[in-house]
Amino acid sequence: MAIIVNLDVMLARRKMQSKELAELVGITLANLSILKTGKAKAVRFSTLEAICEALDCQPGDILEFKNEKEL
Amino acid sequence: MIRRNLILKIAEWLLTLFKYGAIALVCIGLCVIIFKPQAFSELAIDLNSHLFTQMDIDIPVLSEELTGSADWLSSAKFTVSTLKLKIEGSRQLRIISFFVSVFIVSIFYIIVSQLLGLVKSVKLGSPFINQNAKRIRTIGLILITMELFLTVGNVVLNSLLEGSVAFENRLSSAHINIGTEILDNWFFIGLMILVIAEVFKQGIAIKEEQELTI
Repeated sequence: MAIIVNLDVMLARRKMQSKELAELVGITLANLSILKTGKAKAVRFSTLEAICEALDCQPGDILEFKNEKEL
Repeated sequence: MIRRNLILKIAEWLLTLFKYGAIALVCIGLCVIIFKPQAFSELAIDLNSHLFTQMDIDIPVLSEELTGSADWLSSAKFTVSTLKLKIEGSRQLRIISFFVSVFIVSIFYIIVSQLLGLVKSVKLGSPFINQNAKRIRTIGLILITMELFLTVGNVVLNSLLEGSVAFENRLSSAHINIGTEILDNWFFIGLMILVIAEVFKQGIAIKEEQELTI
């Protein structure tokens, strides 16, 4: 998909572990890894809000759009 | 919850029974036709009068010829419009009806095993998978192909037997039915099942989308 999830980068920057984030956001580790590997088809605004709050960042820091046609 | 499990269990038992029963039926039929063809018709009557030895012939009769009445239906009159005859005994007929029976039993076997797979996946709690959509589709397609095959088979058999079966004055309109009454006209049911399979497919897509929404 043309939308890339940069959760790994943000986690590293905040020196936070996936398990910790999952607990803070209130989703399972399995779902978090679905999100990280880009298998997710959609993200609820509420989840996005919780992630942004936990990582103290903007949605744009986590999500990125890359045009596949140009690649 | 308990009742649902019970229904599933009964369905599983029955379907398993049918599955192996179908295999056993073909095996018994094969054994008899190979080792003891004389005993064939007697055995088949024991198993199922429609399978393996017989053919039905429908003969339209003139309505004046056969009428009847019943006491308990006051002044009701019955008119017989079709006579049903059973033919049995000849070797060629036995072979033809054996293959028809094997065909029908194998269709039954395939359908039953698909259904068994469905029941098992429901029992496991995850019925909304692509494999199940495929199973339902297979059942629908098989029913439709079976109907087409039987229609063609009936036409071919009729044309083959037209010249060789003679009933006084009624040769031209005798219709021969190759003992498949139970499976008559499954075309629309097959079509319905195909539509349901498509609905199921869309359901799976929705479920996947929902599962992958975080």
